[in-house]
Amino acid sequence: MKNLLSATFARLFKGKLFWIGMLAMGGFGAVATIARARDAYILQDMGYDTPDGLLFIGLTYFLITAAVFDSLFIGAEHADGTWRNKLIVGQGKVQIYLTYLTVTTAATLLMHLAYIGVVLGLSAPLLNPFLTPTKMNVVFFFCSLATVVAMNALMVTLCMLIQSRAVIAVSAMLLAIGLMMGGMTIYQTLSAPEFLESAIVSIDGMPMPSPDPVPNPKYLTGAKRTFFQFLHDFLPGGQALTIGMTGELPESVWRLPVFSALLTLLSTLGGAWGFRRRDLK
Amino acid sequence: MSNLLRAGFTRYLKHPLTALVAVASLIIGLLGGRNAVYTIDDVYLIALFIAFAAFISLFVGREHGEGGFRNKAVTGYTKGQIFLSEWLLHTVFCLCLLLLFLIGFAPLAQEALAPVPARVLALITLCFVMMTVAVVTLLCTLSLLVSQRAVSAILSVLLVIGLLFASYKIEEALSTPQYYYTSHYDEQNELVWEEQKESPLYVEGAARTLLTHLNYAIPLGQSEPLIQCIGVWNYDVSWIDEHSYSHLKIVKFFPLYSLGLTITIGGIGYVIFRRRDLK
Repeated sequence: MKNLLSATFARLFKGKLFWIGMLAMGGFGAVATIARARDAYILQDMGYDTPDGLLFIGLTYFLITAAVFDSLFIGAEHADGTWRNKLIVGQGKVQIYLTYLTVTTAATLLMHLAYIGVVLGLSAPLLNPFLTPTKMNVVFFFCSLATVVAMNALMVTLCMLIQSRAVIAVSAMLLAIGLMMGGMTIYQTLSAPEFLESAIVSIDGMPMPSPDPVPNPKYLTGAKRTFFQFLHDFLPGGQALTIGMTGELPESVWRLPVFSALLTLLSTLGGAWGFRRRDLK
Repeated sequence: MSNLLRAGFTRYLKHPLTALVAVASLIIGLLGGRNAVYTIDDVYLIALFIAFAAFISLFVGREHGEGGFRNKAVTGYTKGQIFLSEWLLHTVFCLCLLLLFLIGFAPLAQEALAPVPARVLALITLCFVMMTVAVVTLLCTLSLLVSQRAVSAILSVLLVIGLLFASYKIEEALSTPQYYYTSHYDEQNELVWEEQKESPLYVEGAARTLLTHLNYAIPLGQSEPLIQCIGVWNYDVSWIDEHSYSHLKIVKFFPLYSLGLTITIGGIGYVIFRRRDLK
């Protein structure tokens, strides 16, 4: 497997795709920080002068980056038929699967770090220091690494199990968008207030604003709320929102890396099992 | 060119992807209708356009990959004819998919659609039809110009997401208020005075005009006013100032914006495709 790894890493660093991904994530970090610095300059004293909230916002879009990178990188292997060559020279299918998982995990982690590095590097001279406690940033940093690994593992599973490069690309993009939108929908559902302050009620047959808060029928309770909370913590789309956008450390923050590890393990087991049973072109 | 079109229709109708995207469009419409409160949520339009992106990029990419375009050129068809036939095929198919979406959407969203006058509904439908034609032109041109199937599939989906973000950003810039207020309180936390300041982020003059037209030219930029056009008939109008919705009068010009975009992008694509070497 050592030979496989070194050959695949060599291909990764020699190809344009990885560097385009690094450039895209680094560029995104630069644009976000410069836009914040511009806001801080124009809207003085309005709380835009710190990089709070910028550091992990890239994670909310990272599913798209992982989908594009994994589908094109792994899809090229499908199209070129190199896996068959590797099998012929004695490598096992599980070894091949784990090699690609390792290489793409390293690549996507580096892209994520490129975003964070650019934000930190540019915000130091352009903006004031963080107001967010360092502990929170550090905890979220490690959680974000686990989320990136889980996102990548999920994408690798999909990309390794489909043969056609174009179908891989479309499926990976659809999965990324589905996870992002799903995460957002679940987050919105969980954020629905328990009581509505200015609900319209019927008083003497006339629609009028209610004088008292009324219970919100869309507020989730009981087992349904627990299930949605589980989905929010378990799926990478929900995790990215918790880390990137909420700006506060949840009580059960330990659930995020645990669920990421579980998702990585399950998708890798499923993917490796499926890949082993596949006929390679 | 009729032979090209006939062959294309047969090929597309026989492919399982067509049935899959048709079912997806119907399901998106059903979900959109089921969740319609006052109006349609634009997330369903985006889902529909992503389905279009997958459909167009996979079919055009297949032609690129299998050398279908070169074969057509060898049998005497010009590149212009090939471009036009692909555009026409995808436009017709995507309009059929839009119809399926509306068939799923309309019956379930009857509560939201019932108060809207028929002529307004007809105008909104026309706007959606023209918006679809503009989106198909963008996607078809992109897929015809990028010969790598996987790359064109990714770029097509990214294009739809890009259009969405572009329209959100422009909308955000245009909706920044001209003035903002800062309140000053005394030691008892009582309001002493309020100061009105001009917002430095307010977009005015030529930039505002340009951004407004750009927003209406972007297909997904049109969706917000169109959605409001349905929603406004469901609100209690006695509470609303009539002038609050005067900006919706622009909606009747949306088909022209879409037509302009279709002609511009289609024209550019046509010229570039004719100059390209086919694999």
